Amino acid sequence: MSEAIPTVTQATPSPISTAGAASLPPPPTWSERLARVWRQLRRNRLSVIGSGIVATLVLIALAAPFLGLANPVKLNIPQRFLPPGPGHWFGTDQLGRDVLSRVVYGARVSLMASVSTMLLAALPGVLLGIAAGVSSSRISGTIMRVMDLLMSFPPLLLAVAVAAALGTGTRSIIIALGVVYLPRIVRVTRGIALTVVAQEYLLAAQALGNPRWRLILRTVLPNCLSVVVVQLSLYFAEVLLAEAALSFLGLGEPPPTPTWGNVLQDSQKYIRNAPWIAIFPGCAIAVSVLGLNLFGDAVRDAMDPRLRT
Amino acid sequence: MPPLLRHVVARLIALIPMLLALSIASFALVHVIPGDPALVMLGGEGTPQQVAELRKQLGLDRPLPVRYWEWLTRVVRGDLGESLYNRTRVVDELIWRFPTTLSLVFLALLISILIGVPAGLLSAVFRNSWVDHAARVLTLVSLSMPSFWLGLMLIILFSLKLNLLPVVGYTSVVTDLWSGLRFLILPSCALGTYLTALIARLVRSSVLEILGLEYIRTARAKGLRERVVLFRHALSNALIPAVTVMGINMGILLGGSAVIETLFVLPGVGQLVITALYNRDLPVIQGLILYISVLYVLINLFVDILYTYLDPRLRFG
Repeated sequence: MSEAIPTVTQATPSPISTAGAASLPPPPTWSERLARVWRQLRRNRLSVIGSGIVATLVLIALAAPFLGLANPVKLNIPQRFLPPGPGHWFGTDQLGRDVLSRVVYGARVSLMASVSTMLLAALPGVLLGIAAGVSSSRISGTIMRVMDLLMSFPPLLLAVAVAAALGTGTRSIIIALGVVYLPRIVRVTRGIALTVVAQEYLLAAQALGNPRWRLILRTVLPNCLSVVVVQLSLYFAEVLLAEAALSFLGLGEPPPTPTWGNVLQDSQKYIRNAPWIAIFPGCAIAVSVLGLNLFGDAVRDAMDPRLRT
Repeated sequence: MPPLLRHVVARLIALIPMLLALSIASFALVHVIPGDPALVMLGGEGTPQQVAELRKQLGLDRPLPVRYWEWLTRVVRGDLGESLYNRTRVVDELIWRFPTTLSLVFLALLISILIGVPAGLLSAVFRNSWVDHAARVLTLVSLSMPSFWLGLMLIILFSLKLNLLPVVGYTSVVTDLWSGLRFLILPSCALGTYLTALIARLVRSSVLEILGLEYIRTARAKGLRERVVLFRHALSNALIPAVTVMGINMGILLGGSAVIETLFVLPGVGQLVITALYNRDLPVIQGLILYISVLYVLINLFVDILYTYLDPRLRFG
């Protein structure tokens, strides 16, 4: 019996485990799992394109100050409404500001807001989801009722409510969207945790006398995470869209700081004569969301054995 | 009691605590907001006596539970209070604006079903053909575009460049169907595109899954025509998850309608929400939040019942 324990511990997925051989029918180790996902991903050209787009986007957003762009908030009235061309590849807006530069700097705000939203929703969301998946029906039921209540608020109204309470700004958007996505992440995670709990390897690990916290931390959590991460990348795309919509409505960062949404809000009044102000920020949003969707879909296909064809 | 009825009754009973919680939440929301509504009403510049007088008049000086109870009894009787901004009754405003939002959402839903279901079906039947590839690319692109940006692009193309449709303005479909539709067609396309793509994708994957099942082979082996197999056997079952997705996404449509109404300047409920927020018109925000979330809960209940009805395993199980 004392020999069997290290075997199972070895087979329990762990970030540092590299041993492949296990005597029990084991869950694949992290390295095996990653290797398989990587193989699948490389095979799928769309995922390469998707991750390329996402990586480029993040790089551009991070490197914005070093790209030699015009100041995104500096007024230059004589240069207003210039159509796209050399010097101003995306044209200039009603105050003579460079649209390209506003789109790039807007990416910083929009991405920052979306990443913060995901962190705010995902950290407690995953923990609560796993808690609901492994705990007694009373605790689990309580958690899920509260989540149901949060979900019964239409997302936009929740955002309006938060903005009414805290005032407009990126902070309000992050909090509002965080509250919108929290119950969704809890639900998904709980669903996955329930299937993990039903697996035989968990029973095996339990039979070997592993304490409960160890089962949750070393078996349930890692096995859930791989699936949850995929769902998170798809939620991220949704959050990016929602953030743009809310700042388009004027709930986000006030001008002159550019965000994709408020640049589009500004552009509305000038679409007749200067449609480029409206066209490019929207393209930026669409391409980023497309990248995230491609990536998320591909990772899901790679990880979900049922979808493998 | 038949299972379906029992299910409905159970869901209705579960609704009661949910509605109570919603009402407490929307009541609390306005009362945790920093800033004194009385001060806001006076434009932020009343003397302390004026503020105190108005607070008393509005009942703001009494304890919260008492105010909640009074508010709830009024709400149940259909009185959602009146706007701080222009003194109209919130209920009247809602009744006046509701048809616009309803026709927008309905048209968007109609578009997404009429395009999404056939697109998904074709995509699945001609899997890996150019039809399938085209449909999937379009689906992905549609899922990635912000609806309000699509709306802007549609305005630029159809209203400004081609001069086919009016840019702004509104006529209700109730008073004049044709001219009302002319104002609604671009907004509902912009609103419905996301859902269309979602439905197409879902119908494709569920038809594909079902076509691989044994009962389809049986149906074909019986010598049924392919059309019958596809529509009676595959599609009708594939639509069950699509109905759920539509139900879940009614919330997206309702929320999205606020963005689209603001963009196209349509006098709908969503636009009212946003205007009320700009004006910090708390009674209107409170009334709308309660009203729309109750609507949302009822839609979800309806979808759940529809889902149970459509799926015989749930109906008799």
